[in-house]
Order: sequence, then structure tokens, then C-alpha cells
Amino acid sequence: MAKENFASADMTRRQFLKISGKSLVGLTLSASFLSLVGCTQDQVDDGDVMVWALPQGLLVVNQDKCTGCQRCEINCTLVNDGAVSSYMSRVKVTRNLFSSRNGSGLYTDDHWTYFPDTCRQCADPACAKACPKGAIYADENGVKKVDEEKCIGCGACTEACPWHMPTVNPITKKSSKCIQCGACVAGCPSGALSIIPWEEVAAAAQAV
Amino acid sequence: MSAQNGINGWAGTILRVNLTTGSITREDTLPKYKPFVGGMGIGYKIIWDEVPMETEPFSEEAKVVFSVGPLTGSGVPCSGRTTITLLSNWSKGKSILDAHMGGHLAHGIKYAGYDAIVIEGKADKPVYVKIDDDKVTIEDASHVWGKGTFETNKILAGEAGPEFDVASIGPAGEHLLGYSTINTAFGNSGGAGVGGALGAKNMKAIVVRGTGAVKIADPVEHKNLCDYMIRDLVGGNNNHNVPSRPQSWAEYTSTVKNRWQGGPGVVWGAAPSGPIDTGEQPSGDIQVAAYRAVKGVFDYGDIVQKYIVKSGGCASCPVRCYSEYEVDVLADYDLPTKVSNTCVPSGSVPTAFYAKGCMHDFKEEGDSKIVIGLHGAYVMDDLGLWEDYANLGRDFAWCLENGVFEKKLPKEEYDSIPWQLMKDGDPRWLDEIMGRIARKEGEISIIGEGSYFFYKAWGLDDAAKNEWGVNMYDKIGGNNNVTYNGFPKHHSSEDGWQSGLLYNVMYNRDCMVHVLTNFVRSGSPFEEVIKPVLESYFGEGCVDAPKAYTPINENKVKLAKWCFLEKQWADSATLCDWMYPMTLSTSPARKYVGDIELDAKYMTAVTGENWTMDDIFEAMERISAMLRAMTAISFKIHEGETNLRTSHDRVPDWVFDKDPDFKAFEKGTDKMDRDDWEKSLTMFYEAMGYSTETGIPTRETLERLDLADVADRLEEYELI
Amino acid sequence: MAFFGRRKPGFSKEETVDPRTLSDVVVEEYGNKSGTTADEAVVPAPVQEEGPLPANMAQALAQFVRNHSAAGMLVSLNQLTEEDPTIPTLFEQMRADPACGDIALRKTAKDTYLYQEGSMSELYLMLNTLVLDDDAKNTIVTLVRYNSKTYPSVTPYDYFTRPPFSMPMERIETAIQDILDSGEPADIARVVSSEGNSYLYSTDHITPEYAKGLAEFVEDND
Repeated sequence: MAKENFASADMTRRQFLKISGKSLVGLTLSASFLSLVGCTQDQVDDGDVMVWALPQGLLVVNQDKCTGCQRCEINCTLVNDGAVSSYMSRVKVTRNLFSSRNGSGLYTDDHWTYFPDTCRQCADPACAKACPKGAIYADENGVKKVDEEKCIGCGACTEACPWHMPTVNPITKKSSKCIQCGACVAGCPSGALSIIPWEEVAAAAQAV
Repeated sequence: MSAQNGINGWAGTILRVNLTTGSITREDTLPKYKPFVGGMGIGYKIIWDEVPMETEPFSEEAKVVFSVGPLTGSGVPCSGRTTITLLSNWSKGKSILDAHMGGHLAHGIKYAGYDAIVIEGKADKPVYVKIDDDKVTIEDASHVWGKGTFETNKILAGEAGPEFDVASIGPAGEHLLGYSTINTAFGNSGGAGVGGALGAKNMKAIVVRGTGAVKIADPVEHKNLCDYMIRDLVGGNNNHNVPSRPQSWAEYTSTVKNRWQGGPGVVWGAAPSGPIDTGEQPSGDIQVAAYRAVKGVFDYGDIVQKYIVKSGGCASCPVRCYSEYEVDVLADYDLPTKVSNTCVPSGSVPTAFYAKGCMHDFKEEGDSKIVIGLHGAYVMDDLGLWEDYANLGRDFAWCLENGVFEKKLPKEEYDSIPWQLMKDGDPRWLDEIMGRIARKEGEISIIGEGSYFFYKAWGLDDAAKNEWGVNMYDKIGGNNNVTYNGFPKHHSSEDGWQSGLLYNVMYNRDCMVHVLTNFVRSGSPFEEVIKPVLESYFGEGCVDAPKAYTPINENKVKLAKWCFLEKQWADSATLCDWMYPMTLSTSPARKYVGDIELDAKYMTAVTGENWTMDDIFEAMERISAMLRAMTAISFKIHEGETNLRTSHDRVPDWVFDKDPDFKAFEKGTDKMDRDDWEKSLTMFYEAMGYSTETGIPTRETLERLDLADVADRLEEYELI
Repeated sequence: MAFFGRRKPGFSKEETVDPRTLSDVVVEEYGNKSGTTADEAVVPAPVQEEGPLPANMAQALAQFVRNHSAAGMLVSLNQLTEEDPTIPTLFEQMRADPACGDIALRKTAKDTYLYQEGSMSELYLMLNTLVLDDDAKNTIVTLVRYNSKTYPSVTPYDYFTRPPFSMPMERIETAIQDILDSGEPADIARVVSSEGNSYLYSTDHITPEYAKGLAEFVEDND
């Protein structure tokens, strides 16, 4: 696959959205862009730094910086549910923290590898397609949300999502997923989660 | 789950697991346990009600209570703590005490729907308790019995699935050693004999998953409080509010090495994709708080940076007081290279096991402490071996230095010990020697039964009874024993004048009170910050400058009482007792004033009830009175003593006799004065409502605290 | 000009690394952002240019100072003048211009340093000037007195090996020996702890007995 030039001066937000939900692995990133994100090309290619294009900016998850504090989950649920939970969190770190499906985490031999993960806001979402009630829609910013009035809590979305991101709330019996509120990012004490707004990305592109 | 029960804060249910009968029962937490809040309070109340002080601590009849509080898992920063209440098998009086375990289990327990888990009875074969929300089962643990805690945790977590957390005991607990722990996450443990208490019940581990939630009455206000705490108040490890290295925003830096070692040029050197500079962490910025502590540098100096992969720690905490390492040198000895701990198991304890001159550098100058310390912590964690806040190391070192083992051990045993490994400075010496202690292989393991029983067994508690003429409690130098009960000081008069010593003698283990040391060693200047802030809380003269002490006064006693109650509060809420309360802050704009009412604000936002600090302290006085009452009863039963003041609370000579060139209250010494100390004790007992003669709570105090039943039982024992 | 061994593009065309830098990893930092990775050093982002374009060279000088202050760095008037002889004139123009009223200066025996008011703490400013003056004895004396008075605390020798001083131990020991041997200044004294480590203190603020106790306090640190 030919490496595409990314963050060139004429890259628009629309173009970003076309690749929304995919990682940036395989794209050549400009130096100023990498500096803005705070990583190297190698880190992106190796998957140590996950960068994916979201409607409000680039969500950067830096695996090396996650210290397992779980405050992303705390902030997500405190803000969105009025109750604090790990299971219901729309950003998921606990499932990677102990003994993850990938064989990493505190109770594996790869003790120090754990990191948060969340909805990719796929342009072509499997969760929406699987929903029998059409309850998953994209808002005006392209953020995929669950319409609670339509949701019947069947869990088809969870099953269909390759990363099992939507979670059916055991109390409300409604599915819930990342709505890009940014609470997890704002509350991460190590910057493992960060969002780079599009304006800054564009400015970095122009500096090339 | 509390969110389903509709209760704010508390989970609402106490789980009981009877390992003899196999029965699993539940009771409501509220209203019965409300006056005790949670955590330590629930644990002490249950033990009081259900376990006579005569009970053998490591037995079928004893109970072990794992408990959390209304703030656990509520999102409050530094609330991921589990309190474990039990009877002590190793300190004088065999009385009540509590251990405190970090990691993430507290969240699992709370989200599964429980405020406490009471372990009762004894299984007829090795078992572990599995909790999956409301599905609670007793499972076969024969496939992990005998294994170290790392392997056990790996197996049980792997079997259970990705969202399950686990804590297990190791060989020390299985062999019913006094100095035993339960271990979780990596390097997190609850000590003080928890391992043996569970081992005596054939309980190897606990496995927990919780999909529930903690309901918050006012989530908007609560989020604001949590953000405010991280943004404006909390500092580095031990809440040190001033960075050790200059940062452009900071008005002070610490000259004395403190626990905020992060700064520009300090790196997580072994981060997988290249070193990460910890940079500046200004007050007011939430997203950099995790870079402050860099505990490894505090423990080992700058050369350790190349081994630091990242920081870690407990659920909900932004401080991350663990450094997580990759120490490649250990591979040369076929030992695990991924290691982590944050306290004396990774420093002074392992190095104490090597005689002078035996340790050597490995790859560079000064790295012996890193290699030996971190491997030693791994060994201790794996064995589930406790160290009594380094008394184990001090006792062992003294014996090494004085040729005690050679004299006291049977020749065959002495000769069987591979001393050459020690002489070679080989890290595997620790596996050998600590393994013998943990598995009770030989008489040397008596040192693992605790200083009290160890000194007694070898006649080291009486100068007339041993050939070295030593009394290990009273000797000056290399001795931290703060009472004659077998546990050391934990930030006592050396940090906190009379106030520090007062709460140090109140418990049945090393006191877990960090309140004073946190601001004393914060790096803040005394005249400009510490004195004005503390005096604004407690009045003139409540604090002394380092090594410039003054006679006791009312305000120092007020301070001591506050510190004492704050520890009970931390372990009841639950909150990390290394961090709370927010006495000082990082904020120059606030003139470094903290917020000592924050805890009541959290309680109000979480529960929806109107809590004040007075409400909190009243409940904590209740728990403190129970501690003293149960201690008094234990001392009567086991020691025939009826006066805590003259027995349990007695302070060894060295505290008064050290620094012979100085008088007490001269600048340059922290020695105490005997008359001043007796006066301090009297004033403290008065402030707490205890008899000034015996240190035991009076009936009047107990009735004021709704503990008439406690007063009645004390009367039955003829203690009041 | 260098502080923490970092240099920024700007008026200065030189690219030398300050040999006092302790760490092998030289991280170019802008805006003091935490958690930056080492490889950022390879391609630094440009210095943030804030606000409207400077109207004249005097204002450009002020902006130059502001940009450096944002990164915790001072601007040395002596060094700038060496590179550009028009600087003294610009400096006077700048001082007369109300638009540059936020630019402050700190004079030492050796130099005059420019910084933006409010961009760094008073302590950081003091440390900055000491490092840039590069007078080992003065640095040691100033800080030993400051620590003795303020905390109060004795100062370990290796205090000066760490950033921002980053002095090699030999240089520290030579300077200290000079001070102690000559008795100049007279208030600087040494105490040795029971572990055999050396500390300095000022007798203007701490007695010898107290110094001994404070040295023990430093080491008795669980």
C-alpha cells in the first residue's frame, strides 16, 4: 500500500472524516504533526500510539503513558451516568488492566502493558447496522449515539462491534457508548488520552 | 449494587462467607453500621460483636473482614483502598488491628455490591472465594495452594476472565506465619498477618468482578470536588506539595529529598517507545499529576531512571506512587526482570539481609540497592511475607552483625543455610533466606513471628537474658521500636514532636498515620508556609520546626487528636492514608492552604446527606474508643494487664535517651523528655475522653459515643 | 543563552548543547508540556508566536524575551549585545515603549537578564540568574544561605549536581573547599552526618549543633 501524505496543507476535515475510525498506521505523518501529537512515526506504525480521526479532533491514546488509574472510567460514568462504574464506562481500561484478551495486563507476563480503548466512531458502524431498532445514529458532528427511546437493550450492538465497545447498562437496560464528551481526556492525569482539535492539526500541517 | 438499591455512596450489603458450612449470607449495611461509616469502622464493629478477644487469631473461630466505605469507588481521588480487620497473631496482646491494601480490589468489591465481606469458619481443603456481582461461590484452590502469589494471581485471573481482579496469600500465610500478607495487582498488599488468618481457614484467594456502580447524590458537585482536589490541592506522593526540582511556576523546591521527584529531565527511561520526560507539573493542571511522584528516584536516585517503564498504583488515584520497572540485570540470575514496589520491601528490608560489605554493584556504581531491593520486594510479595514496617530487616541485620544466628540456631541448621550466596551479594540469597522464614523451614523462621515473640524466644528483650546484654526495645541506634509491643514507629517524634509519638503508641501495629510527616517533609518552608497554615487550623504553637522542639501544649494535643482521628477516617471512608487530608496545597494563589473540610464535602455530595467534619470526627471517636477498649480487653486476657498507660502505651528508653549530647528541646535533637511525655499522654487521654490513669475510655465517653455495650463489657473485665 | 541545556531558534544562530546538561536525553520543550517523548527533540515545533506582529525591532526584542520566558528561559543582554551591537539602543527604545511594559530586568554582578513579568516564580528567576552567571561559589553561597534561612535546611553537596545547576562534583568540591579554606564568606560552614555525608549551612541562620541535627533529619527519611 502506498504511503499517503497526511496533514498536508490542503487536507480538509472532510478528508479526515473519510478515514475516520481507521488508525493512521501506514500513513506518512509530517514532523510537525508528530510533534503536535507527541510521538514518532514508529510509535504510530507499531501501534504503541493509537491515533484515530474523530469529528472533533484526533484522539490520541498513548499506551506508554497509561498508569492504570481508571480515572477515565470514573470521569466517563460520573459525567454521563451520575453514578461511578467501571463496567458501564464508555472508555474501557479495566478490561486491559488485569488479564486482557491480548495476554497483557498486571496478571500476565506483560505486566506493564495496559491502556484505555474506546469507540472508533466508525464511518460505517457495525453497531448501527446490527441494531434491530435503528437506535444508533450519527449526530450533526458525525458522533455515533444511541437513541435511548428506541433502544431495547438487546446487546446486538455489543456483539457486532469488533471491539465490543457498546455496553448495555444493567440498571437502565439501555445501550451506551462513547459520545465524545471528552471527560476522559480532561481527567487523565498522565495525558495517555488526549484530543488534538482540528484547528491545531491544520496549523501544524501549514507549518510543514 | 448501590445504584440498583438506590442508596447513595454505600453499596448497601455485607456479605458473609462461612467456609465451614459453605453458606453465603447477606445483611444490610444500613442502618446498623452507619454510626461506624465503613471500612475500619465496619471491621471493628463486626469483630467487637462477633469475635471474643480470647479467640486465637489464626483459627476457624476468628473472622477476617474485608471492607470498604461510602467513598470507595465513588470517583474520589485516592479511594481505591480495602481495609482488612483481624486479630493480631504477632504483636503483644494479640489484639485487634487493621491492614490496608491498595491495587484495584476495593473497586471490584464495591461495584459487585458489597461494603464488606466477612470470612468465617474454615474450609476442609484449600479454597478461594469467587465473587461475580451477586454470584458468590467457594471454589477449589488445590491447584494453586503452595504457589507464590504472582503465579496464583496469574492463574486465577486468567481462569476467571478479563474483568476479574484477584488477591491471594502466599507460602507465609499458608504456613501461618505471623508476618504474612495478602497480595494483589503488583506490589500491593495487606499485611499484619492477614495471610496467616486466611491460611488458617484454608482460604487461598479472593477473585472479584463487579459490574455495578456507586450512586452519587449530586454528581455535578462531586465531579467539581474531585477535579478541584487534583487541580488545586494534591501534590506528589505523600501529598508533598512542593517539587524537589525547580519548576518555573514553583515558589519553593525541597532541599530535603521529598516525594515529588518528577521534573524536567527526569524520565521514565524504559518506556517502550523511548524515554518520557516527566516535565513540569504545575499546580492547576490535572493532566500532568501522574508525573510528579517518580517514586523510584526517591528510593534509588537518578540512576534508576533507565529502569523505569512507567508509574502505577491504586484505582482512582492520580498520584501513581509506584514505579514499575524492567531491571535487565536480574535476567543474569534467571530472575524476573519486571518488578515493582513502593515501600520498604524494595529498599531497606532486602538490603538488611546482607552483612556489611557483601553487597556489590552490578552494572554501575550505586545500583546494588536497586537490584537487591527490587528483587527482594518481588520475593517478599511472592511469598506473601510481611516486614512489620522494616522491623524484620532491622532485627535480621542486628543478628547478622552480632553473630546471633551462629549462637542461637542448631548447628545443623546454621550450616545448611547457604551463607555464601549472601557473601557473594547474590540476589538469590533472598529467595533462600526469605523462603525459609516464610515456609517455617527451621528455627530461623521465629524471626517471622514478629519482633515481640522473636525477642522473647531468644531472650533479646531483657539484657540479663542474653549474652549480648541487649534489650532490643531500648537500645539506641538501629532500633525503631516505639512500644514494647513488637512494632516500630511510623513517622513518630522524629517527624512530629510529641504529637507524632502520641498516635504512634495507640495501635496494635505500626500506626498508618502520615498526616504530620506529609507536611513536615513536604519541602515547604517552615516559617513561611507550614507554621502559618497549621496554626490557622489549630492555633499557636501546634507545630515545631524540624529538630527544634518545644514543650507540650494544648494545640499540639489538638493536632495529635486530629491526626489520630484522620487515620481512622481514611481507613473507614476509604481513602489513602498516605495522601489525606489535604492539609497543604500546591497552589501559590491559595498560599498553599489546603482544604481540611474536603472530606465532609465529598460525603455530602456523594450521600446527599449533610455531613460536617464534626460528624466525621464523632464517628471516628467511636471507632477509636473501640480500638482502645478491645486493646484493653486483649491485654487483660493475654497479658494480665489492666492499665494501657503503663503497659501497651509505654515508650522505650531510646526515645528519651538518644542524642546524649543534647537535652530535650534543644535545637538539633528530636529526643523526648520523660516528664513532658507523661504530661503529653495525660493531656491526650483527656482530649480523647480516656482515663488519665489507664488510657482506657471512660464510661462517660463510651456512653456519649453510643457504646454502652462496650462500657458494660469493660466493666465485666474490671477494666473500668 | 542556555538553561537546562536547551536552545531555541531565534536571534541566536548558534546551536551548541550546554555541557552541563545532566541527562543524555536532551528534550526541547516548549510551553513546559509534560510527558513529551525524547524524539520530539529531533524536530521541535516552532516557538509559538503570539499576538500581532511586532511593529518595530524594539518590540520584536520584547517578543523575543516573552517567547523565551514562556519556556522558562532568560535573555542575557551581554550575550545578545555580543551578537548584535544595535541591541543596547533597541533595549533603551524597548524600555521607553509602554507596549513593552511587561518586560522586566534582573541585574547581577555579571550581566543583566530580561524576562517577562509574571512568567516565572521569584525562586526560578533567582536560580536562572545564578546558573547563567555561572559563578560556582556565588551559586553555592546564595543557595546555602537561602536554604538555611527559609526551610530551615542544610544543603547536601550533590544538590548542585542536579538540574538546573548540573555542576560536576569536582567543580562543586573545589568551590566549597575554596570557601571553607579561605573563610570567605565566614558564615558558610560544613557539617558531616553520622553516615559520613557532607552538608553546608550558614551560621547566620543555623548553629553547628542544629546543623548536625538537620543533617540527621535529612538522612532519617523513611
